[in-house]
Amino acid sequence: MSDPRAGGREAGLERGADEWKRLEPASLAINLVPNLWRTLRSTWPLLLALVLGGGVQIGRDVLVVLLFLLVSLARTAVHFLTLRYRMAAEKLEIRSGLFGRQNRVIDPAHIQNIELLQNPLHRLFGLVELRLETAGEGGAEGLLSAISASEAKALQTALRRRRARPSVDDADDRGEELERNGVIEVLGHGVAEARAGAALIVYGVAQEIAREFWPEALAETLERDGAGAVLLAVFLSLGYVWSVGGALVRYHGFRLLRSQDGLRTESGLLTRRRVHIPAGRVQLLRLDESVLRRVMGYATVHIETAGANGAGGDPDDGQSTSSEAIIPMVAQELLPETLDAVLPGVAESDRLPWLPSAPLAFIPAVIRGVLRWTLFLWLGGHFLLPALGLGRMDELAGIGTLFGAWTGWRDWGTAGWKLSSELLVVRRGFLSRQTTLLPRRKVQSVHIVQGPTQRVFGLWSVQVWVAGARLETPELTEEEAARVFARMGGGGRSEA
Amino acid sequence: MSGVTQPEWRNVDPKAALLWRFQGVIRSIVGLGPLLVGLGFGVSLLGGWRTGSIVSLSLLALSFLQALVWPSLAWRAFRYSVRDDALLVRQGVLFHHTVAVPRHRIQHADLRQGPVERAFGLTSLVLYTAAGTVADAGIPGLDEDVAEQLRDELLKRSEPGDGGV
Repeated sequence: MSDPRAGGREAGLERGADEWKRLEPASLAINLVPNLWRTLRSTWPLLLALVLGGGVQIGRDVLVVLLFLLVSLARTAVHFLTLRYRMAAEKLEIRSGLFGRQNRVIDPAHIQNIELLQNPLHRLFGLVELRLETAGEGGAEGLLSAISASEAKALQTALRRRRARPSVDDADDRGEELERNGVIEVLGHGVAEARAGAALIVYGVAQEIAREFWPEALAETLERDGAGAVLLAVFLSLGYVWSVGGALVRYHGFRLLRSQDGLRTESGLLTRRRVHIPAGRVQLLRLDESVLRRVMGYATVHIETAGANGAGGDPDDGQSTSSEAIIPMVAQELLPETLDAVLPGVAESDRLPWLPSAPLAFIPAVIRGVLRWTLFLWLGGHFLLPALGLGRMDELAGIGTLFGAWTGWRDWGTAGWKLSSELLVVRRGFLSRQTTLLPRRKVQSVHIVQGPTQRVFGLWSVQVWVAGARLETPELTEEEAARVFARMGGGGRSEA
Repeated sequence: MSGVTQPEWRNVDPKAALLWRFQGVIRSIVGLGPLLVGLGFGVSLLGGWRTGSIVSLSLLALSFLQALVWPSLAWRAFRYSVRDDALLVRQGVLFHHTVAVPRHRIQHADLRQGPVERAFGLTSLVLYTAAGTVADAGIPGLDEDVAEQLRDELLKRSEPGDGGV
């Protein structure tokens, strides 16, 4: 994304630092598709009601589609016409909104990460989207959805004056490559991420719609032996294809780089996404090591920063979506080395043995497992199988009870924790194992909690909050919980 | 826990229990009243007006009892302690909860006072770190002067470096 005009633009930015600027006119084309999707998301119950409620009425339906387009066009135009930004007093100021005016000032010192995105439309017009994420809930988030690459570079340079920070563009190929994912690894990530539940819900909704329009044909189809099961298999397969395709689009060509000033990730088939996490901004690492990933010999690593994670966002109000970084697949044997490069101190904690959760914690763990799996398989046997034309099987609940007891026992056995001079590390879950690593120097508050059920077994949990995320230990004895609480900053807890 | 410093715990103002009782009674009347009337009406359709009235009045009485008794237990369970390095808040009748907020992590603190609190001369202290509002670390029911002193004391030595994150 380097641009020979960058120097000139940068100088221009310095000269006219206080001048308000606007997005490139091409943002009207670039933002229309996301705004159409946003309008669809906010009006889908109305559209669904119209489709299911009154059948086809050409005049009304055309009017609805026109209204829908008009709203999306208006949102895009308002965004372009009202958004202004400028660098003033070494801070980025963004003004937007027609009726609800918003004036947002972003202090470069509080920026947690910087993202540059380029989707095919951006590439066509030679533009980029710049996202700035700051710390804390409700913290200022900056999003400039369509500016030239040279302008983005100049802005980053201006922002780093306050605090030494390189631009994402500087990254290109410099820095040590810590991890690279090939197509096979990205596809593996897609398979591991697939959620059967979502496919089941889609299947259920599709069946309801089919029942509405073609009740007799559907009943006839489902009455045939195994036809329902075949249909379900088709839906599950489509779910997997969707997940794998999504992973390929999002993480194609993934690279993780480390340089003196922090970490950079880049990925994406259609929309190229580059994230820069300045050194020392990592708040927490979360490793997903589900059974499927363990069989494949990989883990997925989530890097949490202090940005408002998962807050969603709307370019109209200048807020970006979550920009945590993900390493889709890291080979198990390379995990300690990669994690230590991302978060110093992992190698030291890796040498410590896992400490178990409290002995009596196996009782609530088994109870939770039994309740979860008994209910899940009973619902499946009682409702799902008849819906597939396979007959009711309430006996599945018994298998669920046994399986739940076993997984609960294994959950308890898997749970563990360790506390090094740098990190608190917690591991939970047998089937969907998750390991969380939290740097002790990032602790914002520490909580020690005991519910009525835990009191019966003398168990306690410790919760540790960092900016943007939190970690909860497995259930511990009072003595262990007090020790963790004290060492994480709680000091003496008295008779709590 | 031998060798660990035992903090000095403080209670919130005794008037806080009275305030919480008052708020509980108002909540019972405003929040639960219409619901209980509706429930009583529903039950009376099935089992006659006498049964409906008994069910409604019993639930209302239970709600009042809870509003009157619970605040005393909650007040007794609520303690806070200001240490050199952290603020500790302990609370909860059924769910015991202790939170420690390192003082250098406190970004800012708010004093909040609604009209009812003002009538009782009480104030709530709310703390913010880079993680946002600290869940369960606010201190309600403080005397106005005590709240101001406490806020100043907590902010005096909180100097979050590097944006506090």
